[in-house]
Amino acid sequence: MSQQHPAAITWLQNTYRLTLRSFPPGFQDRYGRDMYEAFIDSLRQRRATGKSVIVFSLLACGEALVQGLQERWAWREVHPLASSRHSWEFPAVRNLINDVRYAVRGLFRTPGFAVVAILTLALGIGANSAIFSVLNGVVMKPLPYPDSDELVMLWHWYPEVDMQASVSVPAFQDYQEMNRVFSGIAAMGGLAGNLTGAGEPVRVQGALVTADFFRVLTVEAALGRTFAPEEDVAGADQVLVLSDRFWHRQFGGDPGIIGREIQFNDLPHTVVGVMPPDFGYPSAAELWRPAAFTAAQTDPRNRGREFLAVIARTKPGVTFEQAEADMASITAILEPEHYSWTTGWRVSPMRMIDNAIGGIRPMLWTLFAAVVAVLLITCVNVANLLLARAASRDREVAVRVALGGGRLGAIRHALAESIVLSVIGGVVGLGVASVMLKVLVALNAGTIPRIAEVSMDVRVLAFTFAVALGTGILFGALPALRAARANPRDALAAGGVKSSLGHKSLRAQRTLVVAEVALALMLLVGAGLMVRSFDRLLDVDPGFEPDNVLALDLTLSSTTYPGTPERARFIQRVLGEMERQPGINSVAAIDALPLSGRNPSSSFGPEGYDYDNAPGLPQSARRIVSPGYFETVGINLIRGRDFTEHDMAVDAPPVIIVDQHTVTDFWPDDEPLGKWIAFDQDGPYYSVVGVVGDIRHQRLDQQSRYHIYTPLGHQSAATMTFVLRGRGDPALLSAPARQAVKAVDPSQAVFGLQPMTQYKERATAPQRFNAILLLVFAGVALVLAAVGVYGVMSYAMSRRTQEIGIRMALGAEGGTVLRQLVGRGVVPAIVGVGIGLAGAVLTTRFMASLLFGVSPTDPLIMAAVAIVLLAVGVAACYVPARRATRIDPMEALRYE
Amino acid sequence: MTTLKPEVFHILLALMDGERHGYAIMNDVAQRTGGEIKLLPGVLYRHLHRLLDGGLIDELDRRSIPEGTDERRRYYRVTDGGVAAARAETLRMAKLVEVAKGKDLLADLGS
Repeated sequence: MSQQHPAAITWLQNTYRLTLRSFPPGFQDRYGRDMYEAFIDSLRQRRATGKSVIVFSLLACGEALVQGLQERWAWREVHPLASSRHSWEFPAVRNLINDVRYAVRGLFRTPGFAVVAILTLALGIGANSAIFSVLNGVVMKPLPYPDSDELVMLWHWYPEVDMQASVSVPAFQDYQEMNRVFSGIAAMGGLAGNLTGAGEPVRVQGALVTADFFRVLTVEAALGRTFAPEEDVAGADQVLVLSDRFWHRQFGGDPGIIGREIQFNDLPHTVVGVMPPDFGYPSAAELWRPAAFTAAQTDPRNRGREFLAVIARTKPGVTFEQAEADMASITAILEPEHYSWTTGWRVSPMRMIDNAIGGIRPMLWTLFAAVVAVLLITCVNVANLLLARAASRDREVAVRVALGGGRLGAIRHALAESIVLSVIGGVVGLGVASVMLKVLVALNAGTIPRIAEVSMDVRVLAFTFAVALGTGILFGALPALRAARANPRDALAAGGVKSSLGHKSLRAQRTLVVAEVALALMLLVGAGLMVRSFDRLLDVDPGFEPDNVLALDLTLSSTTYPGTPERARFIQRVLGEMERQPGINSVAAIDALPLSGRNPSSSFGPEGYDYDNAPGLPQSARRIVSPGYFETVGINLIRGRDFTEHDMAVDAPPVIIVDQHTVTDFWPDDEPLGKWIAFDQDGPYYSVVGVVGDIRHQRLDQQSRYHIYTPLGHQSAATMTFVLRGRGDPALLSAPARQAVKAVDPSQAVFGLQPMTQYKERATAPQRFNAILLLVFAGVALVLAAVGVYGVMSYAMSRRTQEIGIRMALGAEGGTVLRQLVGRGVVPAIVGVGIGLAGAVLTTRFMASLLFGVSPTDPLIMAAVAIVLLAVGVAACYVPARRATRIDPMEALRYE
Repeated sequence: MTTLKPEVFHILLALMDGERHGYAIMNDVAQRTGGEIKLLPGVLYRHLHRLLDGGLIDELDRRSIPEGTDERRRYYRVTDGGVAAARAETLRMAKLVEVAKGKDLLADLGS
């Protein structure tokens, strides 16, 4: 039974706990826990006796809310015992309380209506709160550092290749010296390594940071200290600061860790500090080590090696624009001296918050627009429900007005009812939001930055309350106006049912149907576009075959394997060992697998390149691969041959394999095999022995740069990815793969073990996330719209039962009447579809940056969605119309 | 003389048999009235708060809560003042019933 579901129960309990907050704090402290216990006991008892838990809980929540607010008011004056009636001195307040009481009583009388309305509202408001929580946590909340608006990141911008790049050490030192606007400027580089000496070797992600990195961010260590300037020097740099998580995971949170020596990359390091739990920058970092730049790194000739992320803090009172201007003047000095080989180079400052969340904004706002649309549809539906209900209460309202209740009073009553509904809906919606938020975080899969900082804080509560109130006024406005027009004489004389008000109300309801169909259509178009572009993305041929391939990473220690020959030997031994394992068809290694996020690159000079008329050297993605790589990952060999063992020997003639893209751009008419490429002016000159197919390396929706493959042995990288192709499930290859590595070097840590398809999945995760969410919201919108149309039609039919009966009795054909009824009923839906299409054409362009391979006004999707909505509209009309024509004429005539 | 609200009277009645916690009062009242008066926690505790303020009931000291009972909760017992108030209310109702009897309103109830 669904109402016995433990998750639902927990949720009801949490919601009740929230509503108890409506009591004054002192009261909460004193009785809150007992009240909660009493509620839990009642729930338990009801469950034991098989009674409905949900309705009871909703009633109890409503009761607590109303009582709490009353108590809050009464709490202002100390008034013992007696009845609380004396405490309402102000008539306005008294009226309000009475209205609320009256509304609550009315809802208790029609619990079915109340529950449907509250749940609908809870869904709409909850969805808004959830997405707002994400917006609030990700976009609106400042970064978790003191005065974080002073933090700026510096990048290099190369407009020629449309590339934002990191900063080199000489450039970083220039900025440190030359700037006039920053109180501190720090740099950070990537760091990965193995932790050995304590059980299984562990692979660790970290960051190399300059000594004032923590000072610029203004964070202190929770335990111990951060780095001292004298440790940021080669030789004195074997010190580490650990992240809280890593400290707990690896050392069980032992406070004695400070001063302890641990083996990191085969060198002893002393732990000097542990950061607080909420510090995580960069987010994957488990430890930090001083950057301690080497002489080679600071060499001005190495200005091309750009690998630092630079973080600066502006001096107090300096604006971001002033910082931009200062960096522009520094650009003007450095550009002619060092960067004249390319045009338009500049230092590009960026607010740190923009850097963190820049790309995600359009998506979050799209989602927010979607949930707002859902909420509006929700409003329309509840307004419809209220209108239908109000129609049946015309008499009651009329009597009240006639007895001197006043029109204002009637409006107040109507509004009080809708607001009570929406506020309760909002409270329940908070529960919905917390569940949705959990689902969002689970679905998110690394798509949204800062998601860990998302929580339901005071701002979210305030937002929810405001939305609930606004919603209540919005959907209560129509019924309230209707109440205001109540004319006692008409309503009482006409027996209520056939008053002119009924027709007006029906017109209002039809207008609402138009609105909700239009909104649902826009939402469905948005969802359709996302799904289509996700589909297109999956259809992209990445240029390789990830199925049945297992990938794993090894980071080679620089002490055991100091140079390329040692590394190459080790890698070859591992590959040989892997090949011997059962179930493995082919193996290979590469330094940066497609879609892995790693993308080392270098400029190159192809044979015949026109240096004089070109702005600069082209940039290539330069890969280091072992023989058999192309076969293993399924990249097409178009011409020539793959590398062989022979090519790997240091004294072998330097050879290279290029992709089709390179050939097309540089040697379109020539035979590419035998052409040469150089990476340095002094050579060596690599000759092309093969041409392979293009691949998508960075993103599936983007062409990659020129790919140039060099054989392992001539070059190497500290971190290599091994790929193994087998016949079946690649997960089955992980045990033999580990075995092979262990056989060669038992102290070598293996990490990143995963099927290669996962890289592709991660690359499409944002689009999948968007598509799923929009689809869910659009689905909700569609259902709500269908319910709305159905509700209005049913109501309209019930009012025309008599008329239909007469027509049938006079011999009208059932089918003809049915056709006419459906034809008329579906008109608002048709109008809604038209308006919705126009709205979609106007609004979908804002989501253009989220789409791939599909136009924001894709006619196919527009048409499909329009047909779906019309079909739903017809169906929602058909059911009540058919019921009406099935009725026995005699019965219809008696119907009143 | 102020009259007691029916809910308040029922709460006092529930406490006449001995100390009870909130949920026990809710159950007692619901049973005694055959579900006619159902107290939800919000209203119940507001009344308890006022009864405490007025000195008609008081809260048991945690130490004096009987062994083996649920001691996380607050237990309440009726004070002399509370007994007096309940008695006054009973008298008032009894008088009312007398009057009603005189009008023959109870005749066909067989009493």
